[in-house]
Amino acid sequence: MTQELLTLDNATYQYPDNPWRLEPCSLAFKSGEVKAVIGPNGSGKSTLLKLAAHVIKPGSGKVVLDGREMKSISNRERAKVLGYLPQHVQTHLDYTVGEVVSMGRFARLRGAGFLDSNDLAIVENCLEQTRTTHLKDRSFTNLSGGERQRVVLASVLAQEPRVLLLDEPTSAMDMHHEVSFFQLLDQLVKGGMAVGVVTHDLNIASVFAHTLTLMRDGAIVQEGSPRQIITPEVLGEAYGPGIEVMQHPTLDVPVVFPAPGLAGGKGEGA
Amino acid sequence: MTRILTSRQFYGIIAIYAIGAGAVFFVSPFLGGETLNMTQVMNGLFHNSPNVDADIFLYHRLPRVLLAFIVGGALGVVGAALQVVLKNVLAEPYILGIAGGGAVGAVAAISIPGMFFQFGPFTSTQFLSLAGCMFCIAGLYWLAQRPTGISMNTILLAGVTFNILCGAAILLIRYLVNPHQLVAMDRWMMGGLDVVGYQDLVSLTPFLIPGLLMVFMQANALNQLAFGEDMAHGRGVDVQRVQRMVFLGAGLATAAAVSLAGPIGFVGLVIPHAVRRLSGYDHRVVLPASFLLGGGVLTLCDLVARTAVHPTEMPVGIITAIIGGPVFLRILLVKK
Repeated sequence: MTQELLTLDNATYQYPDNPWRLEPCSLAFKSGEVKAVIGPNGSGKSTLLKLAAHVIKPGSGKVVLDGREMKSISNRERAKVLGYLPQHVQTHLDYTVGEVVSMGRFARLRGAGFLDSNDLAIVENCLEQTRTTHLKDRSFTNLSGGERQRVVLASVLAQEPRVLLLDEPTSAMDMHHEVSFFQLLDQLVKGGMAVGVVTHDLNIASVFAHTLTLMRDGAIVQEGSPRQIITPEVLGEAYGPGIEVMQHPTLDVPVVFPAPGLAGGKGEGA
Repeated sequence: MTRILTSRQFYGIIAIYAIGAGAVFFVSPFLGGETLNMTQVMNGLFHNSPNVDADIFLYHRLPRVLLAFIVGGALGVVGAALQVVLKNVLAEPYILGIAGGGAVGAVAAISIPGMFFQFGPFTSTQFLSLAGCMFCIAGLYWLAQRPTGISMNTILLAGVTFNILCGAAILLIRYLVNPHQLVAMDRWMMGGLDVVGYQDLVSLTPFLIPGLLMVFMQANALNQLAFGEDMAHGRGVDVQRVQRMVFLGAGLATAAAVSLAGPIGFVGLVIPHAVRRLSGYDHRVVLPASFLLGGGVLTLCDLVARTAVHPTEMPVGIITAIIGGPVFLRILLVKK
């Protein structure tokens, strides 16, 4: 049922001008599953995702997409299976939202890449899914941060990928839109997609992710279900003290709170 | 304004630009210090009855208009593409420092007494100018080469530095030479399209046409690249290949344009912005439209240059700035 669509096998990465390195990492993005990559700043989450998306090439080890080693797959072929959203998507040119989303069809079109009616229908559908249809004729650069993040998700969905890798895709969203964003990811994985998402929001990860990958200092500390990872001991190992874990009031998942006594907050009884 | 470009819209928009550019292209050879009689010209060309008007048309006006159109078009396309890959709205063909190299070559050729040789199809000035451009392209490419591709940041910074260095070299040459050679140098630096016959055009098309094609072929990928290299990569673009093709294509086309017509400012900067204001940001439209608008505008500017102070003529570089500046400001104002 769950198929490993994208796997990293002891993949490492060393930045050319920086002593920091990603230690050998092995993990699998499976269809039907949202995997959240969590960890403190500078722990290597984005590097791991870039490696998985083949934006950077592993120094050693390998990345396998849908049974084929990544380096043997052409850019266009890869983009038909794998959608990747970097952390900051910006442009200095004034494209409309409709244009941005239609650019997601790039890998599937030949020649000048004009969209036919089928492509246009897919674009409309992606706008609808991300609730951005009303923004279609607006200028992308004039949108709010959260709106932009929904639009770029729509554009990646227009690639019709089976694996989706998202680097902090909701960092500028209000809670309502963040929840509906993750509800959409939930629907997508139910349709067989594999989703990997880097996030700093441990609670949203706990509620929506099937597995959590916790990183620290360029290495994977532990992988597991939210229940296994969202514990004071495991999180403390990566983040240090200052986190308290409680039970979600209505769902069967753990959630985190800042622990004032340890974190130097306002203190008890304040 | 384009929203999502379909092939119908594309051909519609390009047709409008083509009609405008075509009109300029066909009318301007007949205009000038002396207005040519169209019937005479047609008789001369097609009915084997030679006359002065037909000769002026065929050997003076037509090659000149062709040159203006191709150079203006090339500058427009190169500017549009560089503004994307260098992520800078102020980028233009001369920002790469290539023109600086070309200028040093040309000024050196003018400064050396007796240095009027013919190298294959080129004059000494054209040849050294082209050599200077090529030297700069090679230097930039070498400097910007990285294990992961070419660094566009380095190209931008090194290009600006090349320009400053070349500026200093030109000043040095100017300081050393005989004062009456300064006039010829100044004249070259102002840019000009005064050609006779088709020799120059033929000798430079091997650089210009492949260069432009290399850039044109990246039009769709340029849209992706406008959102950053990682995003473009995720969408399936071979980012390194696109950057290389744009850099080399832009370099070749600029080298050809500079060695032929000297540095003609403003067109490469302003035309792409005008096109984007008028018909949106999709570079599948912006590149061909910049070619047509750039070609048309430079042809018109050259018409003014050779007509305004008849019987002599003005350097076209002055006209492009004097006319182009206010027109562009007007476009900015309308769209505000």
